[in-house]
Amino acid sequence: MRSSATWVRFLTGAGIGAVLLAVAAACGGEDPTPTATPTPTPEFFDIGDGQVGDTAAFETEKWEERQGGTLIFGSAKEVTSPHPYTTTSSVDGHTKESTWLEPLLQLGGDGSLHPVLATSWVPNDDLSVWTFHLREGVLFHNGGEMTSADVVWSVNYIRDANNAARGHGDIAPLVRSVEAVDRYTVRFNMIGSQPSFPVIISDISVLSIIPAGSLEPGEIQVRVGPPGTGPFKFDEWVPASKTVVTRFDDYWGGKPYLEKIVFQLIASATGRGNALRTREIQLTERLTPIFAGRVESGEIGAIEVSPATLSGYRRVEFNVESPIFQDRDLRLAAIYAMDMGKLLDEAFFGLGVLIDAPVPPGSVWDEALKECCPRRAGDPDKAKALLAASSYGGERVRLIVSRGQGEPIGESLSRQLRDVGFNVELQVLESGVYDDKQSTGDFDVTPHGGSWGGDPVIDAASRWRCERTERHYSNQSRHCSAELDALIDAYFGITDLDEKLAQYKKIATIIYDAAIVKHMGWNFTRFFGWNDNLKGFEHRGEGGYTRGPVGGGLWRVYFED
Amino acid sequence: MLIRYSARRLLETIPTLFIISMIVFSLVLLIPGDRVLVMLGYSGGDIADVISPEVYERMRIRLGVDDPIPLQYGRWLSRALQGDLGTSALHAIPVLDIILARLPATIYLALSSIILGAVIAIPLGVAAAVRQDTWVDKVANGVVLFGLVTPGFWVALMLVLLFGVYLGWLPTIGYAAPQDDFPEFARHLALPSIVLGLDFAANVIRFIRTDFLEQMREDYVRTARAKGLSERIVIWKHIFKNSMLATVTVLGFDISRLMGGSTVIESLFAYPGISFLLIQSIFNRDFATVQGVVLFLALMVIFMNYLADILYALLNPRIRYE
Repeated sequence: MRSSATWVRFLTGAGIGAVLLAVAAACGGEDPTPTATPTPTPEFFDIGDGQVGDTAAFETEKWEERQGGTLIFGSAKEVTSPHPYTTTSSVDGHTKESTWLEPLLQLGGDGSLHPVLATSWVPNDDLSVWTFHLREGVLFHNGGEMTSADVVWSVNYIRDANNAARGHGDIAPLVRSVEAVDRYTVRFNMIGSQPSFPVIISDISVLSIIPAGSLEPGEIQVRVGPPGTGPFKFDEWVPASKTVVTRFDDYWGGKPYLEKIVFQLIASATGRGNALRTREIQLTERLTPIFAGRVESGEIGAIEVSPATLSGYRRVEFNVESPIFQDRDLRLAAIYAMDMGKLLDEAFFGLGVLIDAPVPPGSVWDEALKECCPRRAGDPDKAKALLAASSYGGERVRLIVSRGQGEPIGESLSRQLRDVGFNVELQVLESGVYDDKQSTGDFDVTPHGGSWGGDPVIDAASRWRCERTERHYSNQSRHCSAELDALIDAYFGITDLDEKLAQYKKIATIIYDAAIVKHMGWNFTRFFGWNDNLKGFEHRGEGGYTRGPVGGGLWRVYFED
Repeated sequence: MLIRYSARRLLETIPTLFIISMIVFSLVLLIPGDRVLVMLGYSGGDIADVISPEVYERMRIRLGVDDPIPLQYGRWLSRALQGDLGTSALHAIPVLDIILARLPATIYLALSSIILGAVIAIPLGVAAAVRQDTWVDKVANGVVLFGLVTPGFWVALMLVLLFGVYLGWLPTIGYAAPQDDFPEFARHLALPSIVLGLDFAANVIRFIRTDFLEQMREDYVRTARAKGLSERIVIWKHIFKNSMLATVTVLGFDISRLMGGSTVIESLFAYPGISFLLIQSIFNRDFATVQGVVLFLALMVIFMNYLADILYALLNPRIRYE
């Protein structure tokens, strides 16, 4: 029942650490005390054993008996480039983060920040300056010691738009300058008050530290990964095939057990499942619920599985600039037409939990939401009444979904919308077409996905701000509210938890009243699976298999026997 | 005469190649997606992620995506003629290098499938024709039906379950280079080759049987038998050679198909061939690689058809004069 324990622990702690980051920062990353009441744990979470693996502290004295072996990890997607600052998929990021690259700090599975390459991070009074103290004695894979000069260089490299780093959009608008105070202290001078800065740079796709000068200006493509500080060294990368890393004996956290990890691309979920059964691979991700169910029932033995419970949530967004859904009443009619429980059943085998915002159920955010924004459950009668009272005359509603997982969602949604009287045209689109249509606003309604980012207002800032309505920006609804923008801006200046929650409620209320989105829930369709002789594997529930010393990840994995 | 015929056929491929290059270039431009986003690492992902507009605009200029299309085509064609198919946006490696790195695996798979298919198809096709309407013919028809109506991925899954999961005899994923470990190479090749070989055999058996039956009714066969030649010589020396014309056509097409069309099988077996590369590149919006691979496969089809034409001429000398 370890898996349930993790889930409960997550629910109780989720989010609190993120809002307390300023406080936590001052304490050097102490975990906050959980206060929220967990929701009942769905039975399906009990599947398998080892959601968190061996949580015992790293036992260096057992290194000799545990060390050795090559782990072949069946990856669903490839590492498309060993470049540290271009991350093309979550799998790409997880692979790098779990092996050769490390951030200054990280957002743990419990929602709190933990030290990695930085041991403390302290803001000034108005949160306009952040001072990070670095861990001493950390070696890069090239043997050099990591110092503040490397951090300054890495940050400035990302800040330079010519280098096209993925983290540029996150860091450049926040950081006015960065300077080395001494060999192990770095000071970030921010543009205004930036309380969320530590959370933002805890994302490996935003910032990892590499030796100063290890990339040329404008070098956006590399064939060999530059040295990092992680427990494994980059060794080989074969495009669209595999990435190989080897043990870094001088890792600051202690020698890893495994000698080598091969991330073998196996695009087919069936192929990954079969290879796990034949033991050609020992650990894999994104197994299907059907496979996991067969393991759970005992039909397939010698394998353990564990769901990535927070790997993704789903929501349905309306384009408020479309001729139909510019009418709020019609958006409300569509919201009432949708029964998300039915959608969860039809599209995800019922594997998941319903939510009203992209927050973990039972978290403080969820509790706040219940107070301000009661769930709009499916109510076809109400939907029909709204439709009847509107000027809707049977105009075509373009529901766009991407091919693949979007199809069952689209089928369920279109049926529900038709049932109340909408004339729905379901467009199942190839992903490139889908991306184009949503970025240009050529749709009326569409389902979206996302993952837990530690603070729902960070997500809201990214999704709903006015400036995010342009092409290739993330506000696909095109909803723009100056009041909402101001509330979001103000939120990031608040450090007190109660005040933050009060502000969050105001933000959520505006989004709720605008009726621009309906959330479905977290869907659990991704499972990790591993051979039963593999020990020490941990994951955080959101699909990642990181992280070094804080969460276990692949660093403490070893083979029994 | 054969040399003149070969040269003429070779020259005829040039306009075809030119048209194909235009189609390949244009079709890839029509693929939805933004190559600038790909270069920035946003391929097939959630574009809702934060992207810097400043970075985006600079990259557009750098890649020259705003240049007129004829100019872009001219640039691409000029480089392609010099053997430069561009550089993969994702992998930072010349596309030709990526293709050449994967070519051996694809060729091995295609060849082993063809050899296996031929070993099944030729004797069975000939036997089915010679022993028409007997149990041999019925077995051959059964093999054909099975091969044609059963999806390759299903056969692959069944073989994986049987030989990989239950019996544990053969690996179900990956590839080993023959120069590194030949037995492992053969073991890794076995299952995908069987799947593709069965499909190939089913196709070829039909043609061999039909052709053979037609040839058996020809006057020259009657003459050969009237001369008192043994049935073995009549079948293998006279009928077989003449019945190969249609089979050579099928072979030409099937080799091309096997080089680029075994996407599902390569994906299922995580086999690092060109088909798998193509499908991954499409998913990743790696336009340069898609262009390069499609052009390469088109060249393969043209080359195999050219070879088939030459073989025609060898098998039937009258063809060169037509």
